[in-house]
Order: sequence, then structure tokens, then C-alpha cells
Amino acid sequence: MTTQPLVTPSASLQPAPQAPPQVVLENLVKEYGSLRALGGVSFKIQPGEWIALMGPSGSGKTTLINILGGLDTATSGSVVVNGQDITRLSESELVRYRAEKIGFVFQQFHLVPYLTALENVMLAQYFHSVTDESQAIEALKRVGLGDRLEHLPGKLSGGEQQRVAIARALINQPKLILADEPTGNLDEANEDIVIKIFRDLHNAGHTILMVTHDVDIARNAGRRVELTHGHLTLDTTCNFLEQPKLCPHGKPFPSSGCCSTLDAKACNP
Amino acid sequence: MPSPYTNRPMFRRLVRRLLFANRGRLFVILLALSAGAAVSAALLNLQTDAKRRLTSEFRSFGANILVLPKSSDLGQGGTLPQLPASIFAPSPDSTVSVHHASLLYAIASIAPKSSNDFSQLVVVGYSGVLPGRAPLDSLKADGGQAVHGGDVSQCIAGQQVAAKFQLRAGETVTIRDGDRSLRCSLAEIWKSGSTEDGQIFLSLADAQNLTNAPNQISLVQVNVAGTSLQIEQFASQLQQKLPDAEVRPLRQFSEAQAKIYSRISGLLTAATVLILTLTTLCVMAAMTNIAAERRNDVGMMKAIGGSARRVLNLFLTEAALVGLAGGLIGSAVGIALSIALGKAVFGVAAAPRLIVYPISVALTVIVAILGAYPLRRLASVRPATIFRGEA
Repeated sequence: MTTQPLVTPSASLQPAPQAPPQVVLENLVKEYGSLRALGGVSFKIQPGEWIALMGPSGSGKTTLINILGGLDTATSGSVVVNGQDITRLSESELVRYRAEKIGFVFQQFHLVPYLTALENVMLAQYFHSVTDESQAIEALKRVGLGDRLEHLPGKLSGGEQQRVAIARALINQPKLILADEPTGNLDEANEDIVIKIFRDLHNAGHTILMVTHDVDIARNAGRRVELTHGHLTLDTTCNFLEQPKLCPHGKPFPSSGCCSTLDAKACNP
Repeated sequence: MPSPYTNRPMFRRLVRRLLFANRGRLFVILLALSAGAAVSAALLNLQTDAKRRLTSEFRSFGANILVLPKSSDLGQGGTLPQLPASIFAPSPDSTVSVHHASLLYAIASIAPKSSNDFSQLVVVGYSGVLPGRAPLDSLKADGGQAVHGGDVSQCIAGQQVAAKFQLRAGETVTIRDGDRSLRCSLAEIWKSGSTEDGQIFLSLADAQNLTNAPNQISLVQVNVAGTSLQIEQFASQLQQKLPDAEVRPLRQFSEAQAKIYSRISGLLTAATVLILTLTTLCVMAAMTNIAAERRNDVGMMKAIGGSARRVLNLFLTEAALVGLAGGLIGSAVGIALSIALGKAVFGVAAAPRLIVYPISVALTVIVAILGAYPLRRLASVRPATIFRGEA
């Protein structure tokens, strides 16, 4: 079953309308046999944006992030990243695209179990260009793992493993960081550490598209995009950090909107 | 594109990690490859050695070339002059070894020591050395004295002769040809399994004295240890040296040699192929498990920018190194094994052939790479499919 999009993308929602968008999704469709995972999604991402991609399970979030990261192909539509339509890239071009322009952070960390923390980071360098051990050590120090360089993933906590994955995602200075529920497997303490790292990355100008189910985590993003049954149902910008927990009338803050979509109707249904 | 040269240290580091990711599994694969290499190296060494070994075995059958009087002379005494040993020396550039023996055949009468009942039989004068006829090599002549009543000669009786006349080693027999006679001590009863069992052997000098045919022989038996072609070539050269004699290669022996060599060689080749195939299947079974374990790793590597080729290079290098280690260990064991097998099959230890070692190691590396086929299938892994948990 498909539903019509509730919200259409609006250029006025973009924080820096004068800058050319880093990512432009146009009528993106993905079908698995008879199942339509994405039903014509369109939106743009400006450089330096942090977008929380939300929606219920099966809404197409991971599919969208996989296509954007060049891990999967679209059935139709276009995905233009830095002026390059990645739906037209060959397999070998997609490999280079992933190595040079994308930094992935997964919920399951996906570290190679028989490589040390340092080697897991260097692996990304190896596939990108030339390995530089000192640079990899520096990246791990930045995420607070300077004393865990030679540890195998099995000897690291979940939070530490995720920080290794973040260091690996950042080591090649990608233009776009795609994070699929990066705190989904972490306890609260580690979640805070990881989110702080993302906040620092955002402040440093990195573009982040983060899939999350957690509204509190989504509050860190400057924009929220929500999918339902493969359709864009919400695309709104706000500064979640500055949002009140309660609406002016004392009603709970709605999980489906903020700022521009937050109005009296939302708070007073 | 990243240069493969500047990344070599990391490549080596990754391969090292892959190799020792699971030591138990590495040991099992190494064991399978070593066992395969050991058996195939042993068989290859036996096969390489079989030609020489078979030639050596066939040498025990005796001559493969006969030097006879010309057919036209057979009716005129049927002998030819005794030939000097230098005639039978192979040319300096030849690799064959040549043995020969001169024989003089005569019909004579024999009576055991205690009897005057003489019976006729074939007496053979023998001088020379032929493989497989060791008892005859040491026949001692009396220098002609025996003919005149001396008793220092030795003779060897074939098994049938010994049975017919109830002879035992150490007994004395009298051999008579016309008015000439000779007494000799039976040095040995010889069982050859051929017509020679019905003959009695003397030294050539004694036989020449007995038959009053000084310096005459009936034929020369020549054994050339070599291939059919080498035997033919030697016979041809010998014929040129001896225009007044007939040099006749015994082709049936050469052909039998070739046929048996071909069969044994085919059998060993088939066994080697079978062993290598089984080893490949063993390695493949182990690699299938590894491939299943590494699907996520491959998906992740491809997600962060690893091309299928570069990821597979890591795995195939790992497989080749395991193959190399298995080959080096197993082939060394195998060649040692072939020495023992050679002894069991041919009665003589197989000579270790150096060429077998690199061939066996190379075959093991190939087997390891072929066995790594399940890893090659990882090239088709799609990261998104892996991360969705669909594969």
C-alpha cells in the first residue's frame, strides 16, 4: 500500500539557498520485484547540513541511504551528488565514488574482526589511496581511542567499536557521511559520546544524513526528513536543540514536526 | 586509482591477518594440501623414476640385441670369432650403459660322478656380464687343464638338468664331446625360468677347449639400458662395426618395455590427478565455510570502496600462500615417501628427482587457488544485500 506524500520538498526550507545543493534526489524509485520501497522521493541536501532521516520500519530509509551511498541502484529517478548523477555510474565508478565521497557508519559497526582498530581504519585508506598509519592513529585519537589502537574489535565495547567505525568513515575526508542508526546498538553513555562526535563533525562543516528512530537524537540535526511507505511525508528544518520539550500550551512536543511545521494546530489537535 | 606498489606493506599486513584469522582452520587446510602434495609428489617421483626403473627391471630379462653369424654362414659351422670388449663400448656422447656376454653353444654328453651313463644336453660356454645372470658372471675356468683331467673347473646346471640327473651343488660331473672330456664342480643349481634351465653352463674358455673351437663363439648377447630408440641406434652402430656379423635387436622386448612404461605412467598420472582433485574438493569444502564467514567482511570492504578485484586479490593471495606452504612441506614428505614406495614396488628405492619438487609445489598452489573458488564467488556480493541480512 502506498500513500501520497504529505509534504513536498520546498526550496525555502533549505538553510543556504544561495549555495548549490550537494545532493539532489529527483523522483527516486526503488522496487524489489512487486514491492516498491521508494515511491518517487525528491529532496535536496545543502553542503554542511545534518539531516535526520526518520520514519517507521520498512519506510525506505535504509534503501534511500544505500542508493545515496552507491551500495544499491535505483529503479528510476536520479541522484546527483556534487554534480554527478550516480545512477549513471558504472560498477567501478561506484567503487571510486564510495571510496572518495562517502563515509559510512552502520548500526552493526561492520568492523573486520581479525583486524585491529588501527588496521580497520587503515583498510579504508588502503581502498582509497595510500595508507598513512600516523593519520589513522590521529583519527582514532580524535574519537578518544588513542589507547585502543592494537585492540581487535572483539576486545572493544560497542561504543568503542562505533567510534572506530566513525574514524574509518572519516579517514578519507568524505564529502557526505551516511549513518544508518549509528547509536542503535549503544547504551546511553556511548550514545552521548557518538552523538557528540557527530555534532563536532557537523560543526566542522561535514554533511551528515543520519537514519534514526530516536527523536532525541534527531533533535541534534538541523533538518528532519521523514519517510512513510517509501514516500516523503515530512521535510522540515529547525534547530532541535533549541526546541522546547513542551509546546506553548503544555502539550507534548509532536514527534512529527518542528519549527516551520510546528504550529498551533500541531500543538492543539 | 591507488597504486598497488605504494600499498604493498598494507597488502602484506592484511594477508598476514587473513592467514592467522583462524589458526585451526588454517591448520586443516594446510594439512589437506600437504597430504595432497605428499601423495602427488610421491607418485610424480615414481613416475619420473619409472622409466629408469623399468629399464633397469627389464635389464634382468637379459639381452635386447643379439650378434650372430651371418645367416649364410650358419650352415658352415655357425660360429664367429670372439669379439673384443671395446666393440661394445657406447660412444662417449651416449648416455646408455651396455653389457654383453659371449656364448658358445654345443651338444655334449654328461654323466654324474658316480655314473658312466652319459646323456646328451646343451652345454653353454659363457663369458661376460649380463644383468640378471649373476650366477654366470663368476664362472671359473681351469685354463684348459680340466680337459686333460684337472678338476678345478666350475659349472652351473640349470634346474631341469639338476632334477634329471639328481645333481646337487658341490657334486662333480663329467662332460664329454667326442674324445674330449671335462670334469667340473657344480657351483650352483640355477633356476632361470626359461630354456636355460635345461642347459649346463661352463666358462667360455672351458667350452672352447671342450669343443675344440678356440676363439670361437656362437653369439653375443648385448643389453643396452635405454629407450627403444637408443637400442635401435646402438644396434645400427654395432652393425656398421661388424659387417661380417648379423646384429639383431630384439624388438619385442623394447616394445614390451614401452607398453608397460606407458601403462604404469598412465596409472600414476591418473592417481596423481585423482589425488589432486580430492585435495581440491577438501580445500573447497573448507573454503566454503570461510566464504560464508567472510560475506559480511566483503560487503563492508566493498561498501568502503574496495573493488571486487582488490578484495579477491587478498583472499587469493592468502590461498596461494597456504598452497605454497602446503606444497613445500608436503612435496618434501612425498619425495621421501616415494623412496620407500619405490623400494616396495620395485625392490629398489626411487631416486629423488629434483624437478618433481617445484612441479609438485606449483601443482599444490594451483590446487589451493582452485579450491578457493568459493571465495571468488564473494566477488558478486552486494553490500546492500548483506546489510539487509538477505544473504
